[in-house]
This record gives sequence, structure tokens and C-alpha cells, in this order.
Amino acid sequence: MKVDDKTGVRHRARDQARQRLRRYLAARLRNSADMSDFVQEVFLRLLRVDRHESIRNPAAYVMMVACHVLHQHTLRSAVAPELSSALDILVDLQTAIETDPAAQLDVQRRLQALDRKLESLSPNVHATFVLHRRDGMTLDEIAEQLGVSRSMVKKYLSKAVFQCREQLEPEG
Amino acid sequence: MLKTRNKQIYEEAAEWLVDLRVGDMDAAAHEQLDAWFRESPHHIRAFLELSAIWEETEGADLGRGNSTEALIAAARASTNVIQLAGEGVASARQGPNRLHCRSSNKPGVGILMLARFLSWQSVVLAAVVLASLGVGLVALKVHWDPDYATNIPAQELVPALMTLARERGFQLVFRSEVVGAKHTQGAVGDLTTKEALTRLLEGTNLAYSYLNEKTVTILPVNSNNKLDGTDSGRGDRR
Repeated sequence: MKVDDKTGVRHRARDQARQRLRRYLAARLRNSADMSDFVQEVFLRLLRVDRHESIRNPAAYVMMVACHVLHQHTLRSAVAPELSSALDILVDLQTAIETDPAAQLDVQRRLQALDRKLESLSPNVHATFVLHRRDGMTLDEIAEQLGVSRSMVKKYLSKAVFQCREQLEPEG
Repeated sequence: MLKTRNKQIYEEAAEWLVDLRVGDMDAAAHEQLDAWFRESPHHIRAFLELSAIWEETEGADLGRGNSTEALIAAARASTNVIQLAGEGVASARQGPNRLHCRSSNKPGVGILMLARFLSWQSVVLAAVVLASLGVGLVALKVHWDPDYATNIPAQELVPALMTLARERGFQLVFRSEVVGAKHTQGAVGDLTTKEALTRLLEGTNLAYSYLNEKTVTILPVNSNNKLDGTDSGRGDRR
């Protein structure tokens, strides 16, 4: 394998790993109390860094910090942590999540619950979210089709996300 | 109290998330978001949670099998009345778009004109009354679906469908890419609405479907009814 190919594969693996990590994070964030420690640590790290570092894309920065904290956590709990690159750990973690049937089932179940919840929302909110997330329509396209303003489409989207989360954690 | 605060955090997080994911963030907004994150770990937690919902639903099989068209039609049907009270009116801002929507009973248009003379409260009230009347009447009509003398000659499909919608009092929703420049053999004789629709669509490789009692959509046969070119729609997602 050429070096370039290898880099490409690794990049792709890393992107995928990040996405899986976010899902993994979400499941754990929702369900377990010990995750508040985790969030606390992310928060503390964020407070420690210079503001300028995170300003360019604060959300991505928080996500990155979260991933770091999580994989350190994984390292600590691993039986025999070997010296390897952070990237390898990410990929290992991804594999662990992907091959965990319980985690996969969890995602499916959550999506189904979420879909049921969506259907109970107002037709505008329902349509907007599905058209954007499932069909990949842009905000402008949706605004045109529904005959509402772009900012209204955004309101529908955030309403959908917010209400879906209520469904997933009713006691919240 | 705690619950209310919690709800507010998630509402804020949802707004940030959407702003961020559709690319509506300038430097000032980034700074505000950063400040918001630094206020509380609860903010971070809420944001991470909602991010996960966003990620998980990308390309997911949502909508319980409803086609794009059906979702749009349902949303539009639900906004007909509410829109009048808000900013502008749906039909007024559409311009020449890809989705045609025609109806013979046009409470919307009448109300629009009334709106110039009346306070908005009375307009909304009138809209609600008219709309419910209209829905009731049309629903009754479709339910009966009696024969009517029909005389729609062979012509282009779009005007033929619109004629039928006008005569029978239903709403027609379709994408012009789907119907295109097709022709119809026409529909002549004593026909129910469904029979007339079937005649008009004969040989066009299209089918009709009732989205609700008063709304008919036109769909291609043997298609999953999704929009084409979803790739072009991905520009503002990241």
C-alpha cells in the first residue's frame, strides 16, 4: 500500500470514528449519571484553554475535547493500554461500538422512537425536519415549498430537535 | 423551576445547533456560542446531546414512509390559515415555483383582500370559520364522489387537471418535474372524481393519491417519490 492510500484510509477512518463517537457520546450522555463527570471534565478543559483557540468553531472544539476526554477514559479502563497513536485508539473505539450489537440496536430503537415523536409534531415541524435530514433539501428549498420564510424554517428545525430530545428523555 | 431552566437550556442549545449546522454563524456568533459554552457544563451536555440527534438523523429513514410531496402538502394544508396572521401570505411569496397548488374554493384569496380592511383578529377568525366550512363541504363531496357531467378534452395534462380540480373543488399538489409537459386524452362523460382522475392520467405513467379528503397529489408510477438531486441540497449542512 502506498503512503498516500494509507493516509486516505486513515483520514476516512478518523472521520467515521468521530461520527460514531458522537453517537456513542449521545447514548451515554442521555442514560448514565456518571456522564456528568465526563461533561464536567469537558467543561473544565474548555475553561482552561485560551478563548481564542475555541472561538473559530466553538462547537467543533467542544466536540473535539469531548472525544479526547472520552478516549482517555477508555484508555484508563483498558486492560493493557499499549503505547499507540491517538488515531489508533479512535479507530479501535469505533470498531468496538460498531460491533456492539446492543449499541446498534440502541440507535435503531432511538430512531424509531424519534420518528414516532416527529409524526406527532405540527405538520410544518415534521415536514421540515424530514425534508432536511432525510431528503437533504436546503433551507431555501424548504422555505419555498412550504411558503414560509427561511428563518421560520430554522425555527421549525430547532423545535423538532428540541422536541425529539424531550421524547427520548421524558423525565427531563 | 429546575425543569423550566432545563427546558430553556435545551431550547437555546437547539437554536445554536441549527444556526451552526446551516452555516448561519459569523464571528460574533461564534464568540457568543463560546461564551455560552463557558457558562455551564449543562450547556455543553445539552449541546452534545442534540448534536447526536442531528448526526443520527442524517439520511435516516424518517417520515414513516411519507413521500416528500405528501409531507409538503400536509405542511401547506396546515399553514393555510395560520399564515394569514403571520408574516405575509404563503401564496403571495411563492412566485413562479416548482410546486403548483390550485383550488377552486379559495378562502385564502378572499381573506387576503378582506385583510386590507379589517383588523387581523377578525381576519383570523373569518379564516378559521371559512376554512372549516370549506374543508367540511369538500370532504362531504369527496365522500359522496357522485357522477358529474365531465367534458375535459384532450390537451396538456396540467391545465386539464386544474380544470378538474376547479370543477370538483379539490386541491391539487404536484411537482412540475413530475407532470412535465405530458398530454392527456381527456375525460368525457358522467364520471366520479376518481374516475375522472383515472381517465386524465391514463397512459401518462402517473398516478393520483389522496393526501387527505380535499387534496390530491400526482405521482410517478414505480418511484419512491423522493426528490431528485439531493446532493445539491447538502451545501448548507456542514
